[in-house]
Amino acid sequence: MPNDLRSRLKRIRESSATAGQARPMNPGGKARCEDGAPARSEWLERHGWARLGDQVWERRVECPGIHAGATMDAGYLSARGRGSLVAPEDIVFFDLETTGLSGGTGTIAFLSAFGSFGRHGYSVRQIFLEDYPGEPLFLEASGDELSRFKAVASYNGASFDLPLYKARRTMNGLPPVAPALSLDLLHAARRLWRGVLPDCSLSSVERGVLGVRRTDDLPGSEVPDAWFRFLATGPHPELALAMDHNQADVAGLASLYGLLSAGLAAGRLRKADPRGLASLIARVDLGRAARVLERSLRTGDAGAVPELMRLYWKLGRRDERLALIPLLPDDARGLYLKSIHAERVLGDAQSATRFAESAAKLAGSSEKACDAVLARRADRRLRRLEQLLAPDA
Amino acid sequence: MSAVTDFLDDFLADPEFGPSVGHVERLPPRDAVWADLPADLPDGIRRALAARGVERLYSHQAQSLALARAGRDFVVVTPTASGKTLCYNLPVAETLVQDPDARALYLFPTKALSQDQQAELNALVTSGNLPIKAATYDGDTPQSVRASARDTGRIVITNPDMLHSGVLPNHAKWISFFAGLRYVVVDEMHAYRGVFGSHVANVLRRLLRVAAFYGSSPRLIFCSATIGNPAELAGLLAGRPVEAVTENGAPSSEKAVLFYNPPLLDPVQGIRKSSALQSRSIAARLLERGVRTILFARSRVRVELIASYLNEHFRNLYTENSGVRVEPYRSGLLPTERREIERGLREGTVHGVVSTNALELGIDIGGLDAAVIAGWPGGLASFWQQAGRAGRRRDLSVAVYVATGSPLDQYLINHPERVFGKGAENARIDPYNPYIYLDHLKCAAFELPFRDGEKFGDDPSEGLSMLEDEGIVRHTGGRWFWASQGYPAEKLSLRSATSDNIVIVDATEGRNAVIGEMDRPSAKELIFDDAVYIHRGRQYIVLKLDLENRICTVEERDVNYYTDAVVKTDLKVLCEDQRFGPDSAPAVLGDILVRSQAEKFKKLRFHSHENVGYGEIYLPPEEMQTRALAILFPEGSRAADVLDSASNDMRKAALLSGLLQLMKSLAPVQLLCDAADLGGAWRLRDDHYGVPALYLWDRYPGGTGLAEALGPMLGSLARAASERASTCDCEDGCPSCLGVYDGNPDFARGRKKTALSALKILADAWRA
Ligand SMILES: [Zn+2]
Repeated sequence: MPNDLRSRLKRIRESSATAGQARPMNPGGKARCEDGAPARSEWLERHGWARLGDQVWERRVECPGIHAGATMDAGYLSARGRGSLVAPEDIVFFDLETTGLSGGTGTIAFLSAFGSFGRHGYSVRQIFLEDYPGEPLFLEASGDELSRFKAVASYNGASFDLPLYKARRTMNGLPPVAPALSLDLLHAARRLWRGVLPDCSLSSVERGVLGVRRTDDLPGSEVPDAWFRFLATGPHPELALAMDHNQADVAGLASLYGLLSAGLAAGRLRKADPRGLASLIARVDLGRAARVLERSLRTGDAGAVPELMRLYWKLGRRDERLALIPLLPDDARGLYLKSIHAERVLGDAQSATRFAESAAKLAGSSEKACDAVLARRADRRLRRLEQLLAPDA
Repeated sequence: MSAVTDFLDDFLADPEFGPSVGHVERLPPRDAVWADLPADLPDGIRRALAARGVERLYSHQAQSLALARAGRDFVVVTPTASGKTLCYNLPVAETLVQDPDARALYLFPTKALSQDQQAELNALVTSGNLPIKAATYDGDTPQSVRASARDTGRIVITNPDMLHSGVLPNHAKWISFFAGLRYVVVDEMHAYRGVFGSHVANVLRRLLRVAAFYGSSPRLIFCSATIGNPAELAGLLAGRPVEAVTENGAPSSEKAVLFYNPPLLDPVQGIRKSSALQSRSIAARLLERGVRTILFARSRVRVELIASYLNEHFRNLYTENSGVRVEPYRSGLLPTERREIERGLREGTVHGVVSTNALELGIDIGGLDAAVIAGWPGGLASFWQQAGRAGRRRDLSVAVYVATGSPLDQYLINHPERVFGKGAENARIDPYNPYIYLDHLKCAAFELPFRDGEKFGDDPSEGLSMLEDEGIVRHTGGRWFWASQGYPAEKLSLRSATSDNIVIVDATEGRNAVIGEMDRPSAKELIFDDAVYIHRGRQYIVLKLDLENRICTVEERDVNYYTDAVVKTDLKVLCEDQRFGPDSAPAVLGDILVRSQAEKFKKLRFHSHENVGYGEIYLPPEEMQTRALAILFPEGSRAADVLDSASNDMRKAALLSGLLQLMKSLAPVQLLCDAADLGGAWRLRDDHYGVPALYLWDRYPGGTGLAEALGPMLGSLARAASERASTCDCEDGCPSCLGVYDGNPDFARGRKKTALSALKILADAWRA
């Protein structure tokens, strides 16, 4: 049977061709213009690219308008980095363009961007893969950039770009690169602007917070096909847009970093959710995080109270913590704490009973596991208080 | 005296049932054949075995260990409950204990089986305090546990579907696993036949290809129920020769197997008492005596009807039996519903189950004493697995096979030697089905680029250039690279013809609950608008079959009929590849295009099957290319002369349709396939060949090897057909032989005699 596989396949191929069922062409297939290589080189050179090696190109673009930001504790952005100071010059801002977003070993990277602050300001170096066989060189050149710096800043790079880069090295038989400190700005952005911005994509953050609007940008979802089309039919304007998109991503990343480094140090950040901001600052400086929440509380944000109480607890500021209890929201936990407070601080057993009763009722009607524990504790407290108040006690 | 012995004595003496028992086979208990534990077995493993009461091995277990130690691929053929898991657990555990980097992969066809195996492994590992972590990795494994399963699981237990869509496309996350992979265990191998098996063969090629990339070349261990060609099937799955261990050293308990042919009601028309009703009565007798019983029915509709009848029966018996509970158990139930029933059986709150062959795959339900098999389950392996459901204890157990009126059943019920003799059927797959092969070629290209000259089973270059034409791979620098955004494994299901299954949604009173699913071609013939759909004993009317959105909305409603689609079929011959038989009675193997369309449906009353109305079906036709065998009657040949003795075209049509029906229904005996796997049509004057013709084709696009296999078997098929027709008591054909002719009965008159002479000529011509 194996012998006639070829003819069976041929027949299916022919009959689907005659039936007009041929599927719409995916642009990634055959190199239809074999004589296209000179045209490709010329086009790439015209767009600022220089040959780095066989099928791999590079270009460097200066970005004069971007300010370096401040040295900061890496702990704000990475649990592993706590205590190590990074200066802007220590960081490479990194982004990959890939052939798909679903992951898996069939997805490769064909374009990388590395932004860094040097003596002449911010500049971006890009590396471009002209065709598949150049991948090992592309990966090595990219790896050289990554390993030159103390930290790698990215947007979702911790879960997408960096693992993909690592997997591609494995697939090409290259040794892993030494792991730099990874600063994923998406994680910070989510804490700061989730619920404030329509979504936390880099371009939304740029538009909503940095006030930068990209012109002529290619949506990320169209980037893979831009490269496939280039492979199949040669250069076209969308590929140039994809290259600019990649460059704009690391430029935006550097601007965002500048904003964060200043804002986290100052405890003030444009449009940021104060609780999210405090949670980032608390990784490095509990006192400063508490000040952010105190300020927010003064503007009437009662939702800041539980988090602020937690910070006071960690800081050992017991009295300030107790003073906040009456301000707690009337949820199960809040009521439970108010009951303790009423009994122990105010000596008001009646209010304590009332609070415990409401807490038990609220927690008892909830389905969350932590509330079940709370319900039992509130019940015990209630029974003890009732005994205390019983006439014959 | 056990309840089973009592039952047997009374049943055989019962004037209502006894006379219909055509054959009683007593399978004596069998003693074990032992072998000593090898002296050099690692201490930890020896301790683990001792803790589980194993001081020596059955001969087949010892043989397996020896083969594994010699680095061979092998397949172990064992009946149920014969200690087969030790055949692979022992060599795997030994290797894993000796080499801390070694890993193993276990494949089971279902998640339920994986869970059983995980429990069994844990018991072994704990009792020997072995440094072996076994981890289940399937669709139910929480995301949080997956990374540790990948990184620290020494034995990873999964199913082919998960391997195909989750593991292989992400192999870069499994580097240390693949680099250390020493064994791949494929249990329940007999489940991998037909379409599913053809897919799994390709998945295994992908697995070995990825393992090779990381420098490992694992050995393969297969386990299978009894089939005729274990080494061949394992070899086709593995893509390389595999040795077979067929001598089984395990003991077995005594079993009685009864062949029961329901009595004739109308000898002229060949109508017998319904096998479903008779099975139901037999099951009721068993349950009444407290014998825990499983009843296997052929269709899910029957399962539902029988279970609800039995429950009704026991509810109305105001005796201690009124507490007897019987549950339907079939494919299409939701996993939670299944688990509930399995638990009930284990805990004794469920006394009987009615099942389709969903249980065939060895889910351990334990403690059953009797199996009633309503209708031939499609193969010897299935038959013995179903019969083996009963009798896991030392006592006598019983299995009752109740024949239906189909030609296949009527043939087998009179030939017990075909069941108890040596001749198990062969399981077939076609890893080179061009559609299946191409789909896996895509997945393989996604996983790793192909090098020029690299093999994928066969030479993949033609397939790769097809993919290049489609623009999803790119050939450059001596390699073929995946060049598409897609993730091909995601779109490919290993289980059905098309991955776009239709979801069935119950919309009664705004319920909006998913109650099942069905593949698209079947949906077009079964759940069209206004069709009656039966699920867990409830009747539903199809409100809307929405093919585009793959949703079928149904509503619960009480009706007294079921529906049956009338399907019209057009054929086109695409090529003639191979001829069988002499020129006087040729059969031609080749590709055909089948276009089928359900145009209307009949409403048939339950029980009486009386036609109570028609309806229209408005659905697009279903088209496919597949492999077919055309049996021709060339002009001037003796077979054609017999045909011409029928005086007019209507008579010829009655004859041809009868021959087709008989051969199509007997072919599954030889092919080990399901009756539904074969399609058939007859032509009075074929468009392509210009002579009368009978077609039999594989109902899976591209074929799974059935048509090819049938060619050399035509002689024995014709002999079996001729024997079936001649021993049938009817006059001009009945459902048990030539089928019922649904035109003017005058034209069918005398056709059986003509059919017999035609079959005799064919049998002589095709004598090997
Ligand atoms: Zn008959």
